[in-house]
Amino acid sequence: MTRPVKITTPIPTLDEFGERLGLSKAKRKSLGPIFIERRPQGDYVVRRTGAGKAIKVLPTQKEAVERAREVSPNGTILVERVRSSTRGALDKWRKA
Amino acid sequence: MPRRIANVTRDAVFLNIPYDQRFRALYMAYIAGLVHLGLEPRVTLGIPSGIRRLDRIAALIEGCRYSIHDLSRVELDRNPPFTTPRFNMPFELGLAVAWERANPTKHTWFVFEEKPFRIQKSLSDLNGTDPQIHAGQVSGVLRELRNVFRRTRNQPTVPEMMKTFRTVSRRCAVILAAAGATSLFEARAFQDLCFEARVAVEVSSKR
Repeated sequence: MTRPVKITTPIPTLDEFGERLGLSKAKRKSLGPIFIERRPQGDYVVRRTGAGKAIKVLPTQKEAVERAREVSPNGTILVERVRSSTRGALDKWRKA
Repeated sequence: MPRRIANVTRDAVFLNIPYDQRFRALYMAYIAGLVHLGLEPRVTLGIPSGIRRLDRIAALIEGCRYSIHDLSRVELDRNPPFTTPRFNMPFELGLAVAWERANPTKHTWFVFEEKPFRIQKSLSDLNGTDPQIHAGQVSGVLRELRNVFRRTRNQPTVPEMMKTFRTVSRRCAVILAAAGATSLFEARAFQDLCFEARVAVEVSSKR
């Protein structure tokens, strides 16, 4: 049996990984997931991975999802769960 | 003039695999599995042109800390004009073995096969080396990748890696359309596949 090798290096972040692959910043942005989070004020913020600045803040989750789809029609959109249900709890993400 | 030796990237894995449609699922399994393990797959599709092909392959092997050589395709290639076996994969394995023998701390190679004991006939020089047998299945590739690479923390399970594979498979059409490619065996599509796999890992860790 082959002896396994131990990987001790940390897993690169999404951005680091994309950079190593030689993807441009714009490409990394376009392929990266978009997150929709509920703010304490009750509105919804559309944000890219690791970005401090929001793409848009909208009053409803539905509008936020629509905006995210416009920004990234082929990308993955993740919505923060705002209700506890049998399919998932708060602080988890679901696909839009 | 002596050739410049590339710096070794610690997480990079050179993938020596067949580029044909029958191998498409396993190709994606290698990508999804390696990316899930936090490694960076590299293939001969992704190397810049303008240098002699052999030099490019040698530089790629030397620049990767690990290499995986899938010797599943030992049968004759029946495409015209000649019915011949493909020697590229065993040849590249030979290059990796030679490089590892000269620099044992810089490189480690692994052989993957579809059928047990076949390598003892097809490449008996490797007797004493146990190949990883994937049985031509996606789950087999993921299992064997997990067997050879161990993360000290957060070692993914096969079902987790399978989930990444499925996500990447579902996104194939989008990747091809975005890259303007007709096949996944193109440099641009390969880059996008790797990144999509990394996105899938990121997303599954948040859900």
